[in-house]
Amino acid sequence: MVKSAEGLIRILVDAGKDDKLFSKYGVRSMPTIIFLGPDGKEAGKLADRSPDGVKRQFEEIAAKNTRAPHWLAGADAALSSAKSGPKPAVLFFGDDKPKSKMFQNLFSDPTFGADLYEKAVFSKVEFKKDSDECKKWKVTEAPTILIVDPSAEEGTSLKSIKGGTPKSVRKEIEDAIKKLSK
Amino acid sequence: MQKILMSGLAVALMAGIAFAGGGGKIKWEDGRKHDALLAEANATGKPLVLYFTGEG
Repeated sequence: MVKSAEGLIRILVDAGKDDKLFSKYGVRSMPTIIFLGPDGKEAGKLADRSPDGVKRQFEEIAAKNTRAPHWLAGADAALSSAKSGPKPAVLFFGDDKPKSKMFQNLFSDPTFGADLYEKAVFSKVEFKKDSDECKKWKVTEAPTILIVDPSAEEGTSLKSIKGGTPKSVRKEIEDAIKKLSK
Repeated sequence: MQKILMSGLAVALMAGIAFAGGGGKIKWEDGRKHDALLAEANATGKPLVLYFTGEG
């Protein structure tokens, strides 16, 4: 249950303290559970209150409404998955600093475009200075996005991106998709 | 605003499911952070779950 809830931002709205939110969402009885999409629009209400039903609905809402790539972990997982396309592997080298988190959010921006989530393989790589993966891919700072052609045995770096907008990063990934589809 | 309270049993059942349905307790954010959490959801692409209760 706890794990299935991790895909959602969870807010407890308490009668007496948060009455404005009861009005805002038209809730007139308790307990009530409402799901919202990332844009704040209602995505459904909890229907099945059995433990399994709650777990299933939490997971379904997260799967259907999350506006973010399905992140793999590590470069090897991305390259392995990307080879079958072939699709470009998009490696996000980040750490736990705000700059990395902010940059990662560009993948969730509506202008980035959810259609790319299926056209490339996305993976997070933990940035640790001088780690084997950082040395291998010549990544010296976080955050860095590396777009990799997985065709060759070890993969070939096509582009290294250290900043930009959702649109500009999207364009670089689209260029890689075009290149690999030739 | 009129709130229709469900039976104590329903409230307890719901709270039991939502807070301790196996594998520990779900951590809930304070409703007063609602606006900031909506902004976070929009930035990170995560959906939200709002739990309206009188149990908090």
